[in-house]
Amino acid sequence: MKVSIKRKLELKVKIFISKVILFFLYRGFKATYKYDKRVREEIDNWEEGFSIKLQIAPNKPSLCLKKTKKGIEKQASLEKPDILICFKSVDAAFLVLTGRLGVSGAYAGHRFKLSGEISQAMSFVRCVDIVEAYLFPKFITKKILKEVPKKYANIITTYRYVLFNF
Amino acid sequence: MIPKYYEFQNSSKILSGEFALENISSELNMLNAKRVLILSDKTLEKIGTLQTVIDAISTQDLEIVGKYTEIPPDSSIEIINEITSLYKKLDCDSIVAVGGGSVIDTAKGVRMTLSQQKDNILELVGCEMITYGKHIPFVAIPTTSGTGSEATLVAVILDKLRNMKMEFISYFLVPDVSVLDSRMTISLPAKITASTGMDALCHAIEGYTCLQKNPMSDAYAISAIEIIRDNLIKAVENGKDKKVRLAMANASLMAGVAFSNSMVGLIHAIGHAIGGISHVPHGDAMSILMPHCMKFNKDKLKDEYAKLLLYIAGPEVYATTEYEDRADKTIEYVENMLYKLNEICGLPTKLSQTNVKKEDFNNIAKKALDDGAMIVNPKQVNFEDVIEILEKAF
Repeated sequence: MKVSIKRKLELKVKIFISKVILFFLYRGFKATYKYDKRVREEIDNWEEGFSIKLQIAPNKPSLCLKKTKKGIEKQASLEKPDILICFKSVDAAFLVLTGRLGVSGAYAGHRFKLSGEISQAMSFVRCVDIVEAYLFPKFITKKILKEVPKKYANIITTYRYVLFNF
Repeated sequence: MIPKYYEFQNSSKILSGEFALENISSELNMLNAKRVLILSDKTLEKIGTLQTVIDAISTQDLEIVGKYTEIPPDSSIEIINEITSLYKKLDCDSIVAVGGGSVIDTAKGVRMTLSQQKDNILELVGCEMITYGKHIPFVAIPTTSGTGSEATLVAVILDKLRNMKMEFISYFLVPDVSVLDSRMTISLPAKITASTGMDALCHAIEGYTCLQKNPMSDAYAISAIEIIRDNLIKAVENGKDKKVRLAMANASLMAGVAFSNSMVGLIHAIGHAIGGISHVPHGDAMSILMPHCMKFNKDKLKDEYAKLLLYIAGPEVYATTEYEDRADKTIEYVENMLYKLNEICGLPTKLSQTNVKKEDFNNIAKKALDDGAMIVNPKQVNFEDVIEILEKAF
């Protein structure tokens, strides 16, 4: 049996949008590392070389991050990341990346698999919550986060960094 | 309320009651097992509990080819590797675990390593990453009524090198058969009965309130609470009462099923940290922290705590308490149970009565925030919140 054209198209669109959001999520990490003390402190506590892969679904695009001297850097790929968070389906990833489900809600709903130490993943989760507070408007974050983190950095500066990388 | 999405699994077959142990060989037979490795600890061997199991399961069709009884209270990766080698050396084909949480978690680790055909269990650390693998028949016989490990998808194993407790989460960790027999808990001392019983209550309460809660886990949680309400004090006062012991074993398993599917939150996150740093028995930490953490979570969980009053206090109290007061009353009942158990058997009510030192608060709080249980707590928790809870519980 073949997958319907409608489903194929739907998946293509969801993967494309997810890839774009993953890119901005990375920029969000860079921006908050620069401007928000809480994210900087979290990431500075990671060992140098510590790596995380956030994958949309098995064999689908991912965001690979590595702790370096500069803070956090995107990698083209990671063969054996310290933490692998892999969504069980593109649709589950889409829910999270488009701000309709928080990371804690996704964990609670068994929406992803996790390889690596859960305690190390907790630090990453705290960072994602803060990044989401900057990237998404409050009416969204109020729904998906248990508590919306305060924004200590200037929102315009942060958005400028996310959009234009400076 | 039905969640937008949830998952639930309780795949273990449960044998509960009279001559339950005697049916294990038949169960293993149906699972095509012929050569059993028994895992337990020294105390259970010494007091004869292990022999009771050996006597009950020995039949012509089943050979007990080996036993390993050196499992310490905090089992480690090294122990699992040692047992895995023993299993292979003796050419076993199944595992029977007789013990508390540590023994059963060790058995889960051994089974997982064998089933996944790995040399190092650390390769499997994580959440829902492993596939079904080779089936190793596995029977769990709990000898305490608290951890619920015989019904959960979690195994906690100590990495001695890094002094860290590693969490393994997979539905394939759940034993094939869980056996509840009052002979296994009848000799449990009063204080341990109280401590483990409060742990079971904590599993049920957190299971009923954490983010993964769902109608199935709720059913198990509330039934467990009712059984604990009616039997915990009796079990502590008269441990020889077989009916009460069996009831508590059932409650513990049901609470285990509840939290295995909805997970545990703040109380366990802090409790794990206290256990790791101050080496306080898990049940003691749960008992002390439970009312304080419930008070902290109350503004988010008022409805859930209010509903729990029916199960923890009974219909008369529930009906005569105004909605506004029900959540507080539930917490009051938990507190009263703790004080009553303190009166009967000396269960600690404050952290200051345990090994916890005030100077360790910062480390405990940091470790608690990194605990996986924190993610499913319904209320956001920060460093200062944990410190405040610790201060109040001290």
